[in-house]
Amino acid sequence: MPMRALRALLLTLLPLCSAGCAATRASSIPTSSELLPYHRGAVTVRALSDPPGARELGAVEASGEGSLDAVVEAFVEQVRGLGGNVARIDSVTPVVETRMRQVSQAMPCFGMRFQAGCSQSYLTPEEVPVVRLVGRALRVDAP
Amino acid sequence: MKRSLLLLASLSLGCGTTAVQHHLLSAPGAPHARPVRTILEGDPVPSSQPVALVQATGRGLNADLPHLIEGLRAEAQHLGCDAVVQVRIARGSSAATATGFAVRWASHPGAAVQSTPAIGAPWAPPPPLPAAPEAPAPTDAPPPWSAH
Repeated sequence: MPMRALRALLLTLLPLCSAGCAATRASSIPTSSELLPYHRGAVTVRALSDPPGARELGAVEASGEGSLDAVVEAFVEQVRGLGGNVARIDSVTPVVETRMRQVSQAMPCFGMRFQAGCSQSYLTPEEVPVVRLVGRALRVDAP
Repeated sequence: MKRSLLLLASLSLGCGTTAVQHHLLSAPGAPHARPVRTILEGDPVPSSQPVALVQATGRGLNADLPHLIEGLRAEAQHLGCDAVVQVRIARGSSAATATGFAVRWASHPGAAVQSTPAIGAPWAPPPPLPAAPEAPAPTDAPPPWSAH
């Protein structure tokens, strides 16, 4: 395979892999016929109640492990994409997911003439706390 | 023998961690040491102002309800809140996590709201529910939906 083609393949696969392995994921879908452009201004995050006079633009979900700030930020980004200026969190669901993690371990080498570093790799289950946010993108017009 | 027992005890004591984190939704208040109420998902929430989304994660020996609730309460106290509402819990075999919203009551002080007893406190029965309204006395008249 020519070097140029290999490079192009790597450049294509790298973003795909990093997206697939991302610790935070989010998605949204419009639920209103009102299609607004991306909102670049401030977004208010709300919970437990809707602001008065809010119009619903779409449904939003985000999930991730580790930082709560990162999950909320991903949620807000989806709200911006729907043109919303209020991110309404309807429910927060904690989940403990089990994932397989690869572990490499050094081990003594038997039956080898020269002492060389040997290692073994195996998969071990690991429990990862994940937070899922479900809510809506809202739009409130300035008075 | 004694040494190995001591080692085992120290290892078991060190095999549990609780981590808490929050994401602010509004300005926090001053930290306090008042009791913080915990309201589980589905239970009615009094009128309140959300201050932060909070999460507690316990691992090892701390992957249980008391450590998670205590973690949420401590974080709410740190944020000057009166309660953690909409609390949800998920448990695995070696890790557990709980989330909720740290809130301030809309009408301060929170003395009107009975606080949840601290973990380890003796159990007390809940106050009696208000009496149900009197049902109308049965009559021989046909029910309204049977008339044409």
